[in-house]
Amino acid sequence: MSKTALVVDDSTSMRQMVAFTLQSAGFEVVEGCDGKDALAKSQGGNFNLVVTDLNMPNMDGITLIKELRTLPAFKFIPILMLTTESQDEKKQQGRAAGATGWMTKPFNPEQLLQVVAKVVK
Amino acid sequence: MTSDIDLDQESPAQGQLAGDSHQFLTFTLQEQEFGVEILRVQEIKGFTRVTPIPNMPVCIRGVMNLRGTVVPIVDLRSKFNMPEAEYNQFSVIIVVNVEQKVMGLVVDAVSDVLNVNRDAIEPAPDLGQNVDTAFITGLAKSGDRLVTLLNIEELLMHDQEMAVAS
Amino acid sequence: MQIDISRFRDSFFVEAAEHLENMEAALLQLEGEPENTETLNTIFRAAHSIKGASTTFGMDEVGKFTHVLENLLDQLREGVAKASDQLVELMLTSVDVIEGLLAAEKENADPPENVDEVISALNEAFQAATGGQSLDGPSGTICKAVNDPAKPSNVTVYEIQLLPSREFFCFGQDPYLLLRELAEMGHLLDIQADSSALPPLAEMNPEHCYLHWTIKLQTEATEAAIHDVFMFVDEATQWKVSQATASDTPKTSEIDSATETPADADSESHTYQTTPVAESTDDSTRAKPTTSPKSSMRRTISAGENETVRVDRRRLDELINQIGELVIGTSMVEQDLASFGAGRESAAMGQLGKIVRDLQEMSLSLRMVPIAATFQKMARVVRDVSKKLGKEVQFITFGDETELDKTVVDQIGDPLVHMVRNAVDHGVEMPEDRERAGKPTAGRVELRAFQQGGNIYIELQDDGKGLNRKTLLSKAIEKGVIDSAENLSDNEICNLIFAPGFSTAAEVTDVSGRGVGMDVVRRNVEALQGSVSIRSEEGKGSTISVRLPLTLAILDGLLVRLEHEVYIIPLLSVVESIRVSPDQIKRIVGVGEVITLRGEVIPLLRLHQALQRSNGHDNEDGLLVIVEDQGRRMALMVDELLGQQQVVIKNLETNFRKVPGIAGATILGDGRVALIVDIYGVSLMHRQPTNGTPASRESTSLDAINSSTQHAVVESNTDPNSMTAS
Repeated sequence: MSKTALVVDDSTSMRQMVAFTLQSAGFEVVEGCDGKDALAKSQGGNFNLVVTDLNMPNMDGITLIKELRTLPAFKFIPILMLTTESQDEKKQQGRAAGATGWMTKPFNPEQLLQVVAKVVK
Repeated sequence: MTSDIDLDQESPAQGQLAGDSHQFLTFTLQEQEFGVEILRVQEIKGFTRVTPIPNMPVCIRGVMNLRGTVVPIVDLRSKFNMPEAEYNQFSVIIVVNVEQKVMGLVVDAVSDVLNVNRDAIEPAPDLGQNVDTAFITGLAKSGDRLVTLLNIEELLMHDQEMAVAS
Repeated sequence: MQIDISRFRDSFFVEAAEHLENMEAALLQLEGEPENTETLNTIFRAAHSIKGASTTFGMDEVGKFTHVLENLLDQLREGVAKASDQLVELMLTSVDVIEGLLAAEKENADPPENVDEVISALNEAFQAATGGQSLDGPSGTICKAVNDPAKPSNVTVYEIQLLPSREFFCFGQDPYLLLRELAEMGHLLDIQADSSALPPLAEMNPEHCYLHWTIKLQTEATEAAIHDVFMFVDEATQWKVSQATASDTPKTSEIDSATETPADADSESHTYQTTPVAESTDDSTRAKPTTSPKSSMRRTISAGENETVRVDRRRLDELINQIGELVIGTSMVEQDLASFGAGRESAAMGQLGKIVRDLQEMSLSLRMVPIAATFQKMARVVRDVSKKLGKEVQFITFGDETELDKTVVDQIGDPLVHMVRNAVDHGVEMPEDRERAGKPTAGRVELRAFQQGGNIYIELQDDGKGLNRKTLLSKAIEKGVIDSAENLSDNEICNLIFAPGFSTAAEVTDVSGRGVGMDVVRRNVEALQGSVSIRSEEGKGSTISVRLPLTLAILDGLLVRLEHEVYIIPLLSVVESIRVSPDQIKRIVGVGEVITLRGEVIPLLRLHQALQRSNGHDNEDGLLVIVEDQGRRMALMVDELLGQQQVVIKNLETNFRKVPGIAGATILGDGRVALIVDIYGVSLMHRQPTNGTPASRESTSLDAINSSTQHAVVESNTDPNSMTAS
């Protein structure tokens, strides 16, 4: 059975890039353009991975992570956050919220897949 | 109807053509036979209503509606300086594709498909001052028939008078 | 695996342009309210997004620049620095620089010249804000764990102990993955699970992790590389790595915890806990993020409510064309049915026709975009021009949400920029002059858009000095635009500014100049099948009104008959139609045939001749359609008026070529092709020396504008002394 990832970023190009990379690694990808959208799309879904940006309108990534962790289906799912080098504080907040790991922008598809391999069976 | 023409008549089965063999759709204009490369031919239509276009050479009859596309119609009789004929429901429009444009040629009637070997094509004879021979590929003999093969790119796209490409 | 991500560059360019638009809008807003955190957040988020994506797509110059900008923005957001006028100016310049850098990336062109200059200005501003703290460049730290090249070393045996926290699983962690990753680094000599911490079954929480592991790993990897395996584990999880000797005695037994940096290893670092499900529904345990506002300034509707899909423009155009065909096809069937059914109406056909027309309307709406983005650019133009000239201008827009065909929006920008520049440059007076005239020192420039019937109107109103009729007239005569001022109505005099050749390079100013006059504005608008006119009151200001069609795919046409053929005259050009008797047609030497209509001499064009319908047509008491093009009126003689109809425009060039006097073709309901008359073209074909025919144009009364749609007020309050060198 193929794995499904929820990719959340308000930047279309970044989202497409992440989605495309994951698809090339055999994931089915559901895209969300912000936390709110992602949360709506997470309902009832069966996901194996979440990759989310932190700085987003409507609902930011940290709130999204907290919200997702309250859902039984997302309780043990690896959640990766996309951060930038200047966001150490955010990274801490993200971990506190239940993020599994992070990717520092900029990254390339290969790096993304390596990190994904760390957290997904 | 005139458009009811069996294109396979007298033509060998597809794929059996020798490398140098070409198929031409033949048609008549004032009892003369002409041929156009069949690969250029998109379809054959009965004569329909043509809307005249102002300030055009006489041989541009106008434009017609081909399933929503506006297609110019070239009167070959007029182009070849033949006497004008009354076009009616028996006249035929050969719709051709040239350099990504779709155009229609009005002719008297469509005859058949002729299989011509390259070697069998004779160079165009001088037809006199009346006709420019640049758009004639050559002559093909088939039995006692003599068919003038047309180069329609030359005829429609590069001819001064038509200046379609301009 | 090599994955090509260049294909996402185009998306990035599109979204970066949106971010820049948002940034610019927010910056202009910031000028009025420099401490609006929400506005600052919007600007910050835009810069941040551009930075993140640009570096990912290898556009380092863009990344470097936005990083510097972001640092400064962070200071503003934190309240360390204030968004002074200079800073806003600097950031607006930065928006231009980013735009330039992006264009350079897109077209492989040279980056803007002032990049370094602006970067150092931004750095200076940052240092000023932080009291001398210098900026570090963007550090390209990319996932250390992944990138650290393992230094070649001798094979070592490590003993690794892993003590997961109870909540280990709740962070999406999985001990199996860690063990697998370790195994992949070398050779696993031994794994032991310690289950001593397992509570009795009754007390066990199945979601908790109670096991500990001890691993013996033989590897060439460094100790640091092994630590990196645990980079993602939660704060409470502990592990230790020690070198095992041949006899397997651990040398070190230091316990590490998963702290990020030593600085973070404070008391807080162990207090994080995964919130249990039951409690977490309680709002109080959920910290609200401080930096992300719930509502955003972005005009794009959030996708949660209204998801959007980007579609290739050509495919959309194709769809719209095909639906146009469907409309024609349907009306052909309708006519056939009517003729077969001898007057009996088909209910089914009526239903189908309605669906098809709705479908067409819907398809056209797909290509409609709000004019807001274009208006937004004008705010910037007003601001820049007024600053440069030392004028104060309040810029107000109405009806930003008015929608127009994308094709029209793309092409209306330049004419609008010119109009707006002109209004600020020539319309609005200097503050002192305004004060003297008893007006508020700040001029008011209003840009509004609204729909009326099948047209969109864009109006630009200023409360400046208005047009000086005397100057206009003398200039028009001097330029040879008119011969004399006779017979010109006030309205006609004003509209002289649109006459070709009226404004020339001689009056080019730094601001509105560039050698284009209002005649170019008019030509651009008319190329869009629109029209433009001006109303002006001396001393009180001017209003330029631009009328545009909703779409370029469809044309409102007047169907006329010439002998047996139907021709279409764009309704936009039609002023009126009249019937004349032969004796009303006069022949003037050097001009040709004319008629006199309410005192105005109008050249007559027999459409039959121009379109070669018949040469010796002598239908003297024919119908005349009075049309107007480029301000010149002309009477077209036709045989019959058949009515008005919306037609789908077909290009003759597709299969043929451009035909003089013909703008295109369309297919009528009965399936035949009708040609669309190009008014300007036929007037050229038949143009008589009509130098002196006044420009005249009915200006539509558009004063009753509903101002309830006020959308944005951007104030450009400028002190010329506050301009900075940057």
